[in-house]
Amino acid sequence: MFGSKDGVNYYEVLEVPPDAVPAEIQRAYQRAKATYSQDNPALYSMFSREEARDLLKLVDEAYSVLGNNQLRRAYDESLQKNGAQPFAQRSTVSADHQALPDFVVPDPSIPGSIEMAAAQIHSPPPSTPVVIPTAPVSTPAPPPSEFGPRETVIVTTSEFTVRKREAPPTLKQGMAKCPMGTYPVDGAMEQEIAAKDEFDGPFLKKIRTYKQVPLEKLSESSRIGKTYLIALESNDFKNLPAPVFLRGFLVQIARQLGLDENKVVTSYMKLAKKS
Amino acid sequence: MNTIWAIGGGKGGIGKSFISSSLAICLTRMGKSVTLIDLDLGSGNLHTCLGIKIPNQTLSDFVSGRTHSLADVTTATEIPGLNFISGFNDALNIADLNRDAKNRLIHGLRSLPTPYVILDLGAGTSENTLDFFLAADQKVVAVTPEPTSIENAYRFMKASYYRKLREAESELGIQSLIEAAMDSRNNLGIKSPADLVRYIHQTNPEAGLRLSNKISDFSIQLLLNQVRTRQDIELGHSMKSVCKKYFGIEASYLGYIDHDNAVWQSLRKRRPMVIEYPYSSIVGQFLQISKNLLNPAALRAVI
Repeated sequence: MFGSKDGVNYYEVLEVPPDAVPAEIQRAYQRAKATYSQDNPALYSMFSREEARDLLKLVDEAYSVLGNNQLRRAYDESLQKNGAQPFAQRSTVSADHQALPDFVVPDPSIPGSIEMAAAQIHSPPPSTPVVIPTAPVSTPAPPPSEFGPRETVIVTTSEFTVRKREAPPTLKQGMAKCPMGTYPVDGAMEQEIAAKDEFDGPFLKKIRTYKQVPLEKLSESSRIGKTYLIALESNDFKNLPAPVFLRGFLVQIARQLGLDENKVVTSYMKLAKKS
Repeated sequence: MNTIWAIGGGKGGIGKSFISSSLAICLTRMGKSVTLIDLDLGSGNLHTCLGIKIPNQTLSDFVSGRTHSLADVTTATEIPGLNFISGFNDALNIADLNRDAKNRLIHGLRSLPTPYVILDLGAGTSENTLDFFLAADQKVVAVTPEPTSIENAYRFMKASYYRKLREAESELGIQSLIEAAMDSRNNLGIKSPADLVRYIHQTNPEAGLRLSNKISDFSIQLLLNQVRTRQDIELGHSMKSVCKKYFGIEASYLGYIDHDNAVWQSLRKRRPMVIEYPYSSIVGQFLQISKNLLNPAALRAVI
């Protein structure tokens, strides 16, 4: 429906402006979800079932990015890099960022602040443009245009450049990443995890130690008590909470360890039910 | 120059005449003067909604050339600020309106003395109806929450959209593309007008830009009539989104009108609802919709 996949703009999919606040995105998502579900009469004679399903998938995909502050920021950056959406410059969104006024009120006690504020008012972008060179990439540099060298990116928000300068930690050879950190890759172990359909406590523990995540750290990030984690990893079912809570715990653990949530939850819950 | 609102919607019996007459009376209540025109040629009954007799002079006098000014066929009504032009009351049909007469009529609308002109369009998607719809500044599509009405509303929008494209195509030399797109089994992957515009942008960016400019003033205002449940209200938002995804155009959701037995009761008495029950919730909804139409920019800002 939307032509080539790379032509899709998630903001257009959810029909929100690029500077929409999270609440707007949430609402737009709910509305889009209701619109493109199968039995909505509004689709009648316009979109077929398959097309509606594709649109729904696209809506979910868009929300999974725009609904997450970190991913959304990264997405905005990629939009800016492609230069396709100049308006995305306004939308480097984080809650603290949005609260900032566009113009700084000059403070006479700071020398130069008035001139700076004046400069801000006279130049169209809200704050002084900072020109930063992009990281060297292997693609050949585009020919310089008459508008100046193309391999520089102008970012108008100083806060934004701070974030950009923190170059993402490059992974060393033979290392892999999971949400909890990096760990050395072991091919056999990776294969075993990928092939496994039944996840029980000891195996989850094995994965955790393999991925070098200490119990304390997992407990902290998943907000699950250590005693529960220990019980869960040792298949000590009678010391585990009610199924509804256990399910939530498993989802959290699977996410933190970068595992398939569905597989982990279904297999472990089956196991817990049997006992 | 005056502002023209057109009320269309494809299907018959969804309340187009009721909506047009109510909006017109609401505008007069806001102190604006309005000319209400029955363009449901052949089967118009807008006069019944207003509770007046068919005037002696009707549009047929203007079309046949018996009179040269729309002012001659305009009747002042009992409602202060409201003028009325009746449609044909004889056997003439809208399909019989020739191109010359139509152009004269559209031209005449612009020179009417009132600042607002409301066109009550007929059912169906005949070319003449579409042309009046496209000539309007505010294009209102009325729809009721029933599959038949929804289907016809979309058909009406599609027909007017393609008519608009046809206007553009000869200028831009993209006729063959549009013809290919209208054939639903084309092999270009074009399934909707949005795809078509995107395709033209890709193949010929210059023509694409001009095409976008040309159709940028084609925006639709959705009005939901005979709403019974909360889900029905949400339908407007859904249809707006479908329009955006299908046509690639901005549609606005003007608002909704409740289903109410008082409507046909007032119609039976042949007294306009807005006058018979001025304090009903429906009249409040009509007032809100009139305000939205008067200031469409404000409506577009709301998500």
